[in-house]
Amino acid sequence: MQLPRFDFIQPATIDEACSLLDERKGDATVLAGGTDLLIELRRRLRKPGCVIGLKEMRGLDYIQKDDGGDLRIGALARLQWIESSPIIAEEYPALAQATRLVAVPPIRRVATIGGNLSLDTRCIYYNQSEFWRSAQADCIKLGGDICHAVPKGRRCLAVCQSDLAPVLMALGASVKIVSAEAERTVALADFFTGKGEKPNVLAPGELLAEVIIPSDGQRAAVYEKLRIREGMDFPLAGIVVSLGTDGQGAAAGARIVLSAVGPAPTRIVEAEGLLEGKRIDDDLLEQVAQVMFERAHPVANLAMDPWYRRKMVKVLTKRAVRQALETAKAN
Amino acid sequence: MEQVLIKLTVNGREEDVRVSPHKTLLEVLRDDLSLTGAKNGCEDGSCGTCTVLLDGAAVRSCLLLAMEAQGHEIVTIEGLSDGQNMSPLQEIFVNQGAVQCGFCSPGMILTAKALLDSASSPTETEIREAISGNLCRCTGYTKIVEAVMAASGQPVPVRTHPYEGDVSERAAS
Repeated sequence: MQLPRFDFIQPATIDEACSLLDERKGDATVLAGGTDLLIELRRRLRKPGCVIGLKEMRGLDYIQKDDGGDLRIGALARLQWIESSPIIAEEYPALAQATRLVAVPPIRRVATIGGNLSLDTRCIYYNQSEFWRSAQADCIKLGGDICHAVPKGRRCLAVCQSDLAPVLMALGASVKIVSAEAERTVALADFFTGKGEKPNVLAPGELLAEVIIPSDGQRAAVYEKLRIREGMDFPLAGIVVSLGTDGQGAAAGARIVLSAVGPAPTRIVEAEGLLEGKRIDDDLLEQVAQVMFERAHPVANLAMDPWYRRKMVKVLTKRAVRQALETAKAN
Repeated sequence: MEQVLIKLTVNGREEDVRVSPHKTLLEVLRDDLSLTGAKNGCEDGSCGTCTVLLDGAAVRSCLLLAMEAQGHEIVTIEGLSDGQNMSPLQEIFVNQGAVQCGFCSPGMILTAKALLDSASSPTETEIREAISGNLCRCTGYTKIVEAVMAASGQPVPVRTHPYEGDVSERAAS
């Protein structure tokens, strides 16, 4: 299937890109790696008049520490750089681990961190060809007023498919958003709206420019991902557990993020609280997993039974906590 | 949305092509340059049969606009042979029985080439990781992995056919 026709412009600088976005507000979309955008265009899920190609743009392609010790990753940093970066391997190994679970090497070579964070949510009734979709009424995500996944559903529950978002959220990351007029930094938790039809706060004319990760200390984080094809697949459920130990083997400062069961990755504070200051045994693990299970509400909108996905949340939680604890003790 | 004249470096040759901005590299290679080695499979990045080398690394040509490929070295499967003889890697794929219908072969071979250019003797795990994005629906991956091992000069594990040998002996063990 051919792509729809569009104007294609490759700006050289961020300022140029921003003024282009401003000029053609609402009609322009940015193409970074393009590994997901081109598929959406093919399916006519987006119909931009203008595509702004960023592959040759300089200025957002870095991974570096700033003076305050935070790690700054330009939105155009390729996923392959992240998995092979010495700084990330040393200080944020979970980010490298999660990156290796995204797609496959040829895709990670072009795909970018900014693109991964701003991935659109997915649903089996939405991510289809235009012809396939023409057989039924437009759903909420397409601007209609019905949901095909949930009978009588009034909210779009299309699923967040980013593997990096839950990890970055557990690491306390924030993102810098720029536009022609302004610049703002938002915590990743506030970047996601929780709405399937409009998953993030990026407004027309705005560009995701940078990811900022604070120094993580002696913590260990683990990402567990459920998928059908182990070689490459979007997540059907995801759990990130990040924690440290107090020296006597008890958990400290735990953060647990639940993802790929709803429109946004979410920290489950209640589950985190259960672990705080405790030595982790099987009973406690069961309690934490039970909380995660109760907070996960997948619906029948991805290629696997929602009840199975929900039960796997429990299994993945246990695996992630055990492994994070082991790594934290070894640190 | 007018056509633009772009310069592509394909298999060492400079090609001037007139393209519309919405054309993918795959479409231009196949339709304008008649290089039909790279195949159009899934169109969503999951099969890998459109793989080409961009500056030596395997990428999906169906997920790349032709205009974005300007200024980069593109190698397609046609670029491996000299027009008459196959490259050693292609020979090994044939000799090891790693080709059946051949639809995945261009992608498999180019992905293998990118791997072998960066690692001289990859382990079986590394090979499987490298080709994990390339779907084969008939040869089976075993022969393909063996071909890549053979191409890097490593011994190919001897596998006996499951129905060869004395069945009673096998049942006893």
